[in-house]
Amino acid sequence: MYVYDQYDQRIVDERAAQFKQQVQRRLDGDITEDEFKPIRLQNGLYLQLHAYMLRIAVPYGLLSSKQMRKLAHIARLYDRGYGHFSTRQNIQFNWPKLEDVPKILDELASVEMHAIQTSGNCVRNVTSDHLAGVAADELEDPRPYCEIIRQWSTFHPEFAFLPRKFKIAVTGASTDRAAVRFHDIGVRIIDNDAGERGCEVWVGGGMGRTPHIAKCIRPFVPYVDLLSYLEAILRVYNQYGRRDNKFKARIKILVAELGTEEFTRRVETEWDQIKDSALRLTEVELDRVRAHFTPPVYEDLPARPHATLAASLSQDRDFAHFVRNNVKEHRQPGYCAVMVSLKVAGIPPGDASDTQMDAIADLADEFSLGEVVVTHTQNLCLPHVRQRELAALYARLREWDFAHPNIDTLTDSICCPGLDYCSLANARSIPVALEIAQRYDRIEVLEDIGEVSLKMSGCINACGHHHVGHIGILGIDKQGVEAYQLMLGGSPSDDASIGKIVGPAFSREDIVPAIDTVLNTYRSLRTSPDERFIDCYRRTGLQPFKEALYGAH
Amino acid sequence: MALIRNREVVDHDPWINIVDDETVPHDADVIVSLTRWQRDHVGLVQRTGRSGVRVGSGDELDGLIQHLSDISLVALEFPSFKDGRGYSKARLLRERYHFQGELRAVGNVLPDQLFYMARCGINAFEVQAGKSLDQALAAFGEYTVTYQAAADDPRPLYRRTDRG
Amino acid sequence: MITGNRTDDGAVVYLAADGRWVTDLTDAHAIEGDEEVQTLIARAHTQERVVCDPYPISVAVEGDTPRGLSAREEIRSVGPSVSYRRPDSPTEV
Repeated sequence: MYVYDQYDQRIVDERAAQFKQQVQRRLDGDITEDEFKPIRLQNGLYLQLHAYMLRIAVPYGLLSSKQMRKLAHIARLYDRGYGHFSTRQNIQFNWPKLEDVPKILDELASVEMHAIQTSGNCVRNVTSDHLAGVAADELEDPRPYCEIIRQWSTFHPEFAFLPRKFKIAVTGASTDRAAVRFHDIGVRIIDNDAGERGCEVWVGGGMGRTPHIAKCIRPFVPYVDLLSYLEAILRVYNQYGRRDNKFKARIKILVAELGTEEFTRRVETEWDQIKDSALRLTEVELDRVRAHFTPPVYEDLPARPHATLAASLSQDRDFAHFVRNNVKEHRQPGYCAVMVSLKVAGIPPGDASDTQMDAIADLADEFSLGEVVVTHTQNLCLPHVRQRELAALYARLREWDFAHPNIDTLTDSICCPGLDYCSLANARSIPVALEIAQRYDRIEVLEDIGEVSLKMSGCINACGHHHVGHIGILGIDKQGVEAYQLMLGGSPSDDASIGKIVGPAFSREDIVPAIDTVLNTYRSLRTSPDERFIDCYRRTGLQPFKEALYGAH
Repeated sequence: MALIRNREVVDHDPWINIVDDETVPHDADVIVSLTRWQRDHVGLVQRTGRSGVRVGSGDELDGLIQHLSDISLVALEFPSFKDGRGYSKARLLRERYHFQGELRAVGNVLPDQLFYMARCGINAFEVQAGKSLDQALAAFGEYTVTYQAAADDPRPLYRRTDRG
Repeated sequence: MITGNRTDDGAVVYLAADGRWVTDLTDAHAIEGDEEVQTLIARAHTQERVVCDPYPISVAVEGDTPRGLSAREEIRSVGPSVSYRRPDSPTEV
């Protein structure tokens, strides 16, 4: 993983020192809350419903065990003993005191971490595939490019006050696990027709009030031109993005209003002026960053096909379920990537206690070459596990409630913090997720339903990605009372689609029975148990589900 | 209001803001709106006083570029700290159009924005007098390392120094 | 009633009759009349070292009990409706 040099370190140290002064000025009354707010936001510190919330950046989700232990320590010392992993691969603490935040930033800086630009109208954390570097279907590791983009965007003086927040995702695999088509800029690493390796650039994807699928505005950009191309896009957005209406300020609106052709023309015109400047990456710099991501030294081990693994473990049924659902294929023979489910009944999705974080750090050291990845689906991933150690790892994961075999099933849902925590929310989302988790706690039932992604947001800002869930739930406010809109058929991946609202919103009492109805309808319509929910829905359309939920009219 | 230029507090600012229908003194240094400049620039340039142009955050730079060498000062409006269009305008003026004169940020300028503004090529700032002024002067030196190219240095960090 | 977030730790606070900011909704000052609300809000805005973003909420007071809160204000007054169960400890947060 990337290791800071003296310059990277100085940048986070100086930011922590600056924020310490700014907090002091706020506490002394030298600056107003209005003046402090943009500063606080650029340091990832929100004022939420009950407390401040600090969002810490985890670039492309990658953490060393040392960093994970530091997060555990912060949870313990400065918070209420737990943290929340977010849909942008970051971690959030819900209860820091304002005067402690500078100390937290110092602690983070000591392990090469920070909370820079995790909020505010600037370029946010660059996210990626949680299997980056190890995926069997990967063309090239996207992480060096994520890191290069991270550095370029950090304290970029021109783009600190964009019309709105800006999110970039990069993928290097043939299956997109990073939802690049739903980001402001999505980058796919590809080989072009001439056999050259480079980047396909997508712009204008997003969720929120008006979901959009991104448009590919440049089919191919060589690596050396990636930053200059991104700078051209950002400059066009900074100048022409709408600033009159917060809900129309994302780049997706600009692309839609100008039209893809005109938007692309403006970007290309700007790019022509800067592509031959010093923005052009050098091979030296590309190699320097790539060198931080060379694959670890793996043991030379025989491959053990998944199927035989699961079959040979059928004596222990729980373990068999775990291997089937939570263990992912790895490019190195004899290895696998293990998903650590943070979707356990009784615990808000994506949360982990300080002791759990310490435990995962130990497990990472013992079983995964000291690395763990935060997934955008609010789970963790141990990316370098030897297949022959799976049983031992499984036993240890069980001790910490990390072994629930529900990955990619109904209860592996994405769920934003919602009205329980977030000042933007209209309705609570966590209790709905917990009710569903409790109701569908039997693994046999989950496996019978099969692969289905349920995504829940407590408001239109869509932090829970509800537009791209196979089943999506949006919490709304109906005259001061919580209600829930249901939608079906969304997908964040290469088969990108936006969910369709089924009908009138459901009350809190009726939303979970509505989910039951949707799943029962699916089971009655599917051609076989092997037909996935999303495929069945795309075949039958919305109508049968609508009728089942609201009656035939 | 206090004025900082080239990292120093300026005691006497010769520049006068002129509204659109006001008569322009022959020998004074005046700042006019972009509209006024486009309409009257011939006459303005024939004076002994210098000419400056006020550019709104939503204005296009086209109207300025044609006769940029006749302009000694560009005042970029920052109506609210959230409006970041001036940063792009500043960089374009310096790096694309090679503007050599004074680039002044006017409007709602907070000390915490100065570092970014300076990196974008702005070298003069209208700030609130009082405590803010000390904060403002300190702001320029707050970061000793920067990653990316900007108006202050067209080279990204890895081109300025050996990394790693 | 007037509510806001405590500057120190972001906790939900309410304006009490004696001008203090309290965390318990039942101790909050029930204000009648728009004018008094505006006056108190204006004053609250000058207390930024103690409270952030003060705003008024409408509440029906039955006897001593405040009622009629929106879902959002209900949650603000009692805290998150979900408790955090740690796998390694029997107590909830």
